[in-house]
Amino acid sequence: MAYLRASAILASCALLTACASIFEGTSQQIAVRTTPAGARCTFWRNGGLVADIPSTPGTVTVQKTKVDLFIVCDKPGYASATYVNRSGLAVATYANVLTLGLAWAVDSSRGADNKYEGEIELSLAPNGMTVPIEPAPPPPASGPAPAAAVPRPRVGAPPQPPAAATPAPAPVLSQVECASSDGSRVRMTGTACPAGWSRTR
Amino acid sequence: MISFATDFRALWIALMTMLAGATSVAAQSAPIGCPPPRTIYTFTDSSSIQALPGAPAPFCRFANVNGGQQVDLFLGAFSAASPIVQANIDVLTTLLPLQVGKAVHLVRAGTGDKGWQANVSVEKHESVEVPVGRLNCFVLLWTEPSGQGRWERRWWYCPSLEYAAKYSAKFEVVSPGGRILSSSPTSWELAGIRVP
Repeated sequence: MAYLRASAILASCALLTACASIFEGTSQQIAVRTTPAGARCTFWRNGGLVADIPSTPGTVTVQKTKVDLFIVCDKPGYASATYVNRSGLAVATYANVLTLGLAWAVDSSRGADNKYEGEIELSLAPNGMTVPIEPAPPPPASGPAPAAAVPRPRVGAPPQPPAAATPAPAPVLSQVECASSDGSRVRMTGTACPAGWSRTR
Repeated sequence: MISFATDFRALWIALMTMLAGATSVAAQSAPIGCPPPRTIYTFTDSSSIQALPGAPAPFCRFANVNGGQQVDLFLGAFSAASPIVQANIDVLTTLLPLQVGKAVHLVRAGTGDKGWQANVSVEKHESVEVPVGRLNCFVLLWTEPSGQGRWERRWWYCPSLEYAAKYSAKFEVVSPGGRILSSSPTSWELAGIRVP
């Protein structure tokens, strides 16, 4: 009798492609694509790292469990984005629930949510582009620049071999300290404080 | 003597009432605008954005300094490109003027069992020290419901900058044994401001 029932299920599943997933076993492949590519994605379950994609796009194989699976994707210059795989949803009554995988998508840190349709697609929201942080300019000199700071050729001195090419020094940008009416005080690069701020020095 | 004490008490009460009013006003934001175009903010994660004109209210437009990729953000945090933000922008704007204790619930229906939801609240108002200085900011808390985990994101939105000066996220998973395990996702602080 059990044999006949199994045969009936097999026969019906042969006609319904949705049933095919029942037989995929206890592990599942998850593909992750991000925009832009090249993000590192880590897969967490019960606080432990279970899988890792060093650089997207990529695919990992994870065990199917009833425990939430958290996926965190990071790329320098972009806000981290996460997905949470919620298990035990009402859809579990369907036979192919095991392959539904990530059923619960959540937003990236800038509020950009993403959808999951069998594979993960994440749009990473930029914090900005990766550029060097501008170093603070030196304090303004109170007098003439020290004479020894830069060697200068003397008048009438024999010609010197050309010095190795050195990059032109970056223009020194002034900084202003500004205060706002709510008590905030910050340093800004520029010549004047913007509207709503007053210069403190 | 009694009269003096009574007068003093009345004066004290009046003073306290005035102070309470001042505190309440301080904890409520003025109308929200956008940073002046061409203002550049640089962050401790080495990223930079530049303010641009042209975003539809209540959003402000920004671009990557090098890449030019644009993003419209509400309160320096919530992207116009996000479907859940798009679907709930009228709900989100009820947070204005920002005031500690305000909270909204965002929902976006998906197909089948899928759905998105989040809670956004104005958690507190605090003075925060970041590399560019000290700023008075509202802490916006974004939380997402999850089975065994908790995901929290916080933006320190500073009305004087019309942008966030700090961002942090906290990711916790409760293990079957009840132990809380945490991870440390990305966080950043404002490291530079260049005014046009």
